[in-house]
Amino acid sequence: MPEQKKPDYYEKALSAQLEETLAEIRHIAQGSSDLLINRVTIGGIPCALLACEGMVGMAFIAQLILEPLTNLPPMPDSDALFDHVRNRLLLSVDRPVAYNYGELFRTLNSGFAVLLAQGQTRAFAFGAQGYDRRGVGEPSGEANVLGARDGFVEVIRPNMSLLRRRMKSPFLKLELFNTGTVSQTDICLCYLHDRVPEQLLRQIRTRLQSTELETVLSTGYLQPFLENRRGGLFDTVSLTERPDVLCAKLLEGRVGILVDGTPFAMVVPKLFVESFQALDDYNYKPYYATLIRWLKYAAFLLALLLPALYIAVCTHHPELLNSTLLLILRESEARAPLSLTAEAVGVLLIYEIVREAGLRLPKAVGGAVSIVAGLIIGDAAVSSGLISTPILTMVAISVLAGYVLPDLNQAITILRIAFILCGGLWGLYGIGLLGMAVLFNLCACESFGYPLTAPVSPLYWRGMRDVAARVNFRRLQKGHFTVEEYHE
Amino acid sequence: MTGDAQLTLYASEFSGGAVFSSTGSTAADAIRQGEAAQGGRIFIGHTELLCLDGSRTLADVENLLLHHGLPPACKLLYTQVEDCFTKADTGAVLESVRMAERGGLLAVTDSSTVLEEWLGSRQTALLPALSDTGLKMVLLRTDGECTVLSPEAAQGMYWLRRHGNTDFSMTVRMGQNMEDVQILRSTLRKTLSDGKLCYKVGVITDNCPETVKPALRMLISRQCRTAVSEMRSARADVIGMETLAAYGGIAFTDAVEIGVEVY
Amino acid sequence: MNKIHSSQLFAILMLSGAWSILCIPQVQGSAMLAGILAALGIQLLMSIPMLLLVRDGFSLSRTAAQKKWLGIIYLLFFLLWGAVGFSQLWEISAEIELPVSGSMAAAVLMVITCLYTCSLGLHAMARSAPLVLGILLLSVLVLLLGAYSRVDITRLTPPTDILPHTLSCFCLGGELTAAFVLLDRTAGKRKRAVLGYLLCKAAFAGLVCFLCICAAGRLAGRSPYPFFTLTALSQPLQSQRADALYLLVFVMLFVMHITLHTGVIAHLLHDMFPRLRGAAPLSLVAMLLLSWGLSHILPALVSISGVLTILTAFAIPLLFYLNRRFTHETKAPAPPAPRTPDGMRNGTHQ
Repeated sequence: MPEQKKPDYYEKALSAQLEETLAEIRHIAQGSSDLLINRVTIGGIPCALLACEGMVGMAFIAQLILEPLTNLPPMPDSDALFDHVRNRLLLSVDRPVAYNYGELFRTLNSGFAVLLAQGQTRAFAFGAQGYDRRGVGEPSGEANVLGARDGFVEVIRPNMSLLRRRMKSPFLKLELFNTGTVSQTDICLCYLHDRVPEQLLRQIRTRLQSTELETVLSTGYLQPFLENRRGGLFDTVSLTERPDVLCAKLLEGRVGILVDGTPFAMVVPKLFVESFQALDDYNYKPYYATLIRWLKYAAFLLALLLPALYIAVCTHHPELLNSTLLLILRESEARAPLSLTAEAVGVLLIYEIVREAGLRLPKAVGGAVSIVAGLIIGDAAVSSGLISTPILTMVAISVLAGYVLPDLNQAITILRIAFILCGGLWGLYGIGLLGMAVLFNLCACESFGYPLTAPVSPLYWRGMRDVAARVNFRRLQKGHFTVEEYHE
Repeated sequence: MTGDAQLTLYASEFSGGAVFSSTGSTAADAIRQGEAAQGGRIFIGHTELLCLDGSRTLADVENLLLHHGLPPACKLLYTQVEDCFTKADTGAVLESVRMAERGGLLAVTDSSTVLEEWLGSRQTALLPALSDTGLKMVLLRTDGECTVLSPEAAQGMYWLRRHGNTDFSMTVRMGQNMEDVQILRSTLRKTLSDGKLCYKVGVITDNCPETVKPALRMLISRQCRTAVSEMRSARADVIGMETLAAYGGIAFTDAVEIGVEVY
Repeated sequence: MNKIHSSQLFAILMLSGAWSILCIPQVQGSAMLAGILAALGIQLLMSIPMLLLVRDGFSLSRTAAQKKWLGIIYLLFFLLWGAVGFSQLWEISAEIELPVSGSMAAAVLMVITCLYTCSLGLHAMARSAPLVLGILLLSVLVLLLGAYSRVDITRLTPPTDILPHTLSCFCLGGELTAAFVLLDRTAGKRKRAVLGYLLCKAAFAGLVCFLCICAAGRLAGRSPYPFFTLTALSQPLQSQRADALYLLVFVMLFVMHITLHTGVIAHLLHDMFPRLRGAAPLSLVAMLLLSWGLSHILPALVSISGVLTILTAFAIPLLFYLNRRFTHETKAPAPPAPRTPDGMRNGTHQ
């Protein structure tokens, strides 16, 4: 498999001459102000300790690295010095060795302190990370009632520790590597090596290694490389901010991918039914969880189809409405200047604008969005007769139903508008045709050979115990289910 | 709808409002003319009551049902009363028909049941009718002949056509006294037995006293016999008798056995 | 390429067959009911050589790749069958008033949808079929709920003169030929899938005819497409009409019907002429043009397709089977399905 093309300096070996090495480092870094180079004599050998300002803990370096090093007795040569430091001093628990400038800069920019010595073509790095990072807190999305309140953060190492703390099995493997020719972003593959299918792991590694990206700043950069088919409406890679959710999926033989710099973990393979599952389902009683599950299925259909069905029925099939409703709707729509389709599309587009504005505005002025949207647009538009109340109600219910499934938000938003257009133009005929196209699109999606629509189609009865209902845990964890059963 | 050579359609909306009319050679044609005159679509998918004045107009109902979305549950009403076509509020008439059906005074009919009978070999139909003296049931023939059924025969028709749950009371004469009996459900079984057509009516009552049951049985049986007799006199068949008779190789005019069970 | 499961094949055949049942014109009496059941009984017997042949490892698509004349016969059959479907769509759209301006527009929209569904490959159709079958079962349940109170058994008279109805219903059985093409790409209990399809189709057809006769009554006999009259008459709730919702079922079944036949054509063409691109769009356009040109002779088209059904689903498989038997051909194991580089199994024919 072709590896990513790396910059020229990457493979260049370090020089034994300290001055030459430092000159090269300054040249590569182009005099970056946050690069700290401290010359020091250790054991009589000229050395240099490099660090990135703001990335390392200064107190840690001073007390736990510099002090022991400067107290070393004179050494005959740099080999003896490095041998002593490597084998007799434990200055840090994370001590990679860099042999070329690529590895040196990667460790330096990851918050390591790097020690160079005259006469050595290698550099010792000591884990001394002290950069500011967000504390582990409740995830912004994926809220729940009875579950944990911790979520992933932007730094990959604490995320790995969150997993390790929950899954104390030695079979949990966290495989670190980096990607992005410029950003050198840390990526961690997480899996239970006694459950994960080998072929799945191989495919994922191959895909990730073959990405030719300069930077990887979020999961969105890598996600297209993990998805199999262009033109798929639904994601085949799931995202989660919750370590408990990721652990539950790892237990089923899936693979999690942590990306440094983003608090979201990717999980493959994904099944469509997972979009309707939440962690709280497994904290509630089975009968209540089943009810909530079916409410979500209904919410999906409502979110997708309600405005379109309303428009199709009112415009093309009014006989489907009962007579009382027909009269009410007729009276409401009589005053509206636009067609139902135009009204619905207009309201939806305005809603999307309001939603985006609410997301992007600073919190201090966020309240103004509610006032403008709710009172001015909603109330005034209806009072003035620009928009009829029934269509506003239908769109509002549809939008509300869509909130229940944030995972499917993108697909629902686009498809809702498409269904409205088809319903307005061609009634139930158009809705039926588009519905079949969407169904086929959904059924064509696969995630590394796992059909997105499993276990519903192809039907696996064992899987239905967590789809059609949420059976109790005694039955749910029987049989050591792994997702490999769904592979085609 | 009224007329023979030219059909006149009178229509009014649920909420009342003015009655508008249009004329055409057929019902569909009249609707088309009406749409052109009104400048808007005439939607008949929720028509609740269709008043007809003869067999010719009934023939158009099939076309409306099959090709123009007339609801099968639409009530058909035969009337020669002019006001009925031009009156704006036909809601009261419709409610009267519904209450009479609920009360067991009229057999339950709608456009689909009427057409089913109309398309049979005898081409007759049982319809509710509105006259100056109130609601009755009539048998309408393709030649335009119309036979009004007596109230007893109309009630008999109710028992002889399939029904399910009911909730009305019947008054039974017990000598000098009158007893009210609540009827909860009626059933009908049509069979062939010993070369005879048998109509077995089952009636479930709400705690009908044992002493009243024989009288109730006799009353219902008499109503059914009257209905059959008047129907045959009108040379009509609206209770599937001819189909059943053909099944068993029996003549339509042969004796019919009426059995009534009261529970 | 990877195989579909036998239950998926059953669902695909059943849905395509259900479309043919919905399009039965003029159910007049129980002779039609008896005719349908007789026709399906004959098809059950006709399927025997085909099943025996496939059991011995025969693959129609591989054989068609070597014997092009064979492939062309099957291609013509599926083209004709698809053309019949489009002609029926035009006829029905005139009767049930589709909310589309014109029958041609309805057909074009259908072609566009089927172009897309065909492009997604066999697996997409196979996986969506059970879901659509579930929707069909639900709609049948609703239909039964509405029709139950209207059923009058006395309307069911003893059938007379079954033969013409048997012949006309026989011509509605194109799915058997499609099954013959797809059986070598099916894993699991293939015999059960085909036999199950025939039995379930018989049950569905019997139910529809029974309800048309006993619930819709004489109105069904007067209606050009009695199933739609039946849905209009069988309302589960007095105050709420639901017949227009069957339009959704109608559309779904037709999409499956055309996607099946187009997909099979694309599959055959892919094996016969590997360099040919755009097999699905070409075949859809050909179906549309054929149906437009020959729609005025729809009854003749149906009869011709009935004759071709006997040829493609019975005569040719029987000939091949007897040929194998008498020349003692050994049972050739099916070669492993070719895989794409990532181990991905993609059913797309591009």
